[in-house]
Amino acid sequence: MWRGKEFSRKEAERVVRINNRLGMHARAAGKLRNLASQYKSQIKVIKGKIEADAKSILGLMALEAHKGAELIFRARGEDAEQAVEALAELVRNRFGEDE
Amino acid sequence: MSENRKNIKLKGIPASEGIVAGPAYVMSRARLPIVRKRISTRQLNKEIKRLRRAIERAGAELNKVKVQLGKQIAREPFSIIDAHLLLIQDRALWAEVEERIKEEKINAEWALRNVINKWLKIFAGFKDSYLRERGYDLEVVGERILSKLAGHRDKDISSLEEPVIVIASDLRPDQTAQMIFSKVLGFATEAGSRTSHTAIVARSLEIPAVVGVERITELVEDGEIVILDGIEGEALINPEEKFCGVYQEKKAKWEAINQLLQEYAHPPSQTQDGHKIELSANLEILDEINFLKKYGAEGVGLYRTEYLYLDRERALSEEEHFENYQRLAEAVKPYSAVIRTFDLGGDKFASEPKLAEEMNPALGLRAIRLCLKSPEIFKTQLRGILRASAYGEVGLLFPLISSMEEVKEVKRLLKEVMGELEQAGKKFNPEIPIGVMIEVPSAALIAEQLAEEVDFFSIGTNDLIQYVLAIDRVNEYVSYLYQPLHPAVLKMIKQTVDAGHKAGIKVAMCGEMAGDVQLLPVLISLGLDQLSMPARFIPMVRKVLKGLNAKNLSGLAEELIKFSSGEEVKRFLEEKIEREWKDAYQLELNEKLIQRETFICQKNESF
Repeated sequence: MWRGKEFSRKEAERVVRINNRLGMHARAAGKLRNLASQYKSQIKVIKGKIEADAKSILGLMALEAHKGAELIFRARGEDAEQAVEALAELVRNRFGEDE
Repeated sequence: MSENRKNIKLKGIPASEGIVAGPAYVMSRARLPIVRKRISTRQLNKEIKRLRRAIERAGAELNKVKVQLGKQIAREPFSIIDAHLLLIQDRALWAEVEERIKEEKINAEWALRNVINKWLKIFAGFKDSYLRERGYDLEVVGERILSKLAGHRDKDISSLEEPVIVIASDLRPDQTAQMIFSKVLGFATEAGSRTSHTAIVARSLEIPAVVGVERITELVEDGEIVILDGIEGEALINPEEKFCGVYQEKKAKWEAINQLLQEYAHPPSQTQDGHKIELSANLEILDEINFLKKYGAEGVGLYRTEYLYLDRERALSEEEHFENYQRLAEAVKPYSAVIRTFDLGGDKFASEPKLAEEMNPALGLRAIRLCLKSPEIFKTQLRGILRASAYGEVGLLFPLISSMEEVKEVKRLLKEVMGELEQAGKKFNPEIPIGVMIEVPSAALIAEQLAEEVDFFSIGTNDLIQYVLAIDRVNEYVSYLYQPLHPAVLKMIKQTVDAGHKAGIKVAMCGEMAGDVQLLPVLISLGLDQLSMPARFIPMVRKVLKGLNAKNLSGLAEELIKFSSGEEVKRFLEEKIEREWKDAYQLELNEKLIQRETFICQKNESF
C-alpha cells in the first residue's frame, strides 16, 4: 500500500550551476525558499554530500553555495516537474540580480 | 538602596553630544535562563500551539518595526530586519523544533534552544565570514521568540511609554534608528566606538550617547536614575542632589552656547578682512543632510559612501546608488556635493572571495586599489554617481591615490562608464569635476603633476598624518606621536595647496584637522579654499573665522614650518590664541541665555 502510493508520485530532477556573483546569500536563499514553498512537492537541494530542504532558508544557506557551485534539485510530488524547472530557472536568472 | 550604590560614575567614549537624565531601561543580551521540563503526552499539542503563537507574535512585532522604520528612515537598516523576517518565516526550522518537542516530550523553550544551538554550530563552521555572521541573526531571532514564550515585557524601544535612557550591551543600527520615534532620551552601550554604525546613527539623530562603557548593564537596574553626558562620555548612576545640580548647570551652559552659535549658522564664511573660505559638511549617512540648513553648511565637501556597503547583505545595485546620490544632489542645492567612492578594505565585502589576511591593512588592498582590482563593483558606483550628476552639482572624489597611473586608470574607467551610459541613453554631466584625496605622502609630493589631471584636491589629514609620521593612532603606545601640527605635516599640506593653486584648482581639507577651531589660523594661512567637517562644528568655526584677519596671518604657515617640533608649534599657537586672537575665540555667555530646567533626578516609584 505504502509502496504503491510512493510509486504513483512523480519525481523530477534538475542540475544547475550558481552563476550570480554573490552566490546563495540570504536574500537569494529567501527567493528560492519562497518559490519552493509555492509547490506541493517535497523538494531537496543537493550540493555534493550535503542535502537541504528547499523550503528552509537555514538549510539553503547552510549549503554554502558560492558562484560556480553545482546544485541538484530533486522533487517528489504531483507538481515535481514544474517545481524543479521553476527553481532551476531562478538560479539560471542569477536570482534576479544584475551580476 | 544602600549608600554605596549612589553616584557610580562610569567612563566611556562620547559618541553623540548632549546631556540627559532619566530612568534606566536595561536591555541586557544576557540569555534568559532556560530549564528543561518534561511535557506529558496529553499536553504536547498545547506546547506546540504555545510555540506557534510565540513565533507568530515575534513575527508580527518585527513586521511592525519594519513598517515604522519604512516611514522614518531611508533604507539603510532594512536588510537586517528583512533577514530576521526571513528566518521567522522558515517553516522547516520550526517544524524541526516541533518534532523535537514531540519526540523528546520536552518544553518548547528547551527544544528551541537545542535546535538553534545545533544550527549555530553549523554556521560557526562556515568558511565564509558573511554566512558565519548570519548565525548572529539566528541567535537574535531565537531570543525574540524565547522572550515571547516567557511572556516577557516587550523590550522593544518603539513601544516605550515613558522617557528613558537605554542601557544595552550593544545596539544594532536598526534599534538605534527606531529611537527617532520613541521616548528614548539617550543611550549608553558597552560595545562600540565613535565610528561604529550605531554611534553615527545616534549623531545623525542627535540623541546623546556614550559607547564603550564597560559592564554598565550589570551595574544599572531598570528604573534607576542615570545622568548621561555625551559630551565628556560619562554615565552617572543614582546621582545625589548636588551632582544633579552640576550636570543641570553644564547642560544649561552647553545649550546656551549652541543657541549663541545659531547666530553663525548662516553663510557666508569669511575673515574680518573678507577672505572667504567655504565651510562644508562631511556626511556619513544620507539622513544627515537635514543638518546642512541647520548649521549653515555650504554644501557637502565629503560624502563617505562606505556606510552604504556596511551592514548590508549584498552590494547596492546601480539603481540604488543612483537614487541615493540623486537625493543628495537635490537636497544640497544651491551648493554642490562631493561624493567619494568607497574607501574600504577587502574584508568589508564579505560575499567576495576571502582575501588573505593582511599584516598592514592600512597599507594594503583598500580604497582605490580595491576599486581598480574589482572594477565591476567600482563601475556600478560610478554609474550611480554619474547619473545623479544630471540632477545637481556633484563632484567625484577618489581616495588613497598614490600614483599618476591610478589617476589615469580611474579616468579611463570613468570614460568607459560614460560611454556605456551614453549608449543606454542615460543623462549625466560629462564635465563632472574630478578630485583626488591627498592623503598618501607620495601624492602630496607629486601634487604638481596630479594637479594637471584633476579639478580639485581634498586633503585627508587623518591618513596623511598617519602615513607621514608612521603612526597608528589606534595603538595606545604610539598615539602620543600623532601630531597634526608636526612641521612635516604642515609642510606636506603647504606643498599641496601651493601646487593646486599654481595649477588654478581648488584645494579642500576634509580630515579632523579641518573642524578643529584651534588650528583655524594655521589653515587660513595655508591658503585652503574649503574646509569640510561634521556639520555641527560649522557655526563655531565660522564664528572664529569672522574674528580673524587673513592678512595678519599670511606669513604664519611659512614660519611654523621652520619650527623643529609639533609640540613647539602647539605651544606657540596656544600663546597666540591667548594673547592676540582672544576676541575671535571668545563666546559671551549671557546669564539670560542660560536656562536651567529641572532634571528628572529622583526615582519615580511608579516606574
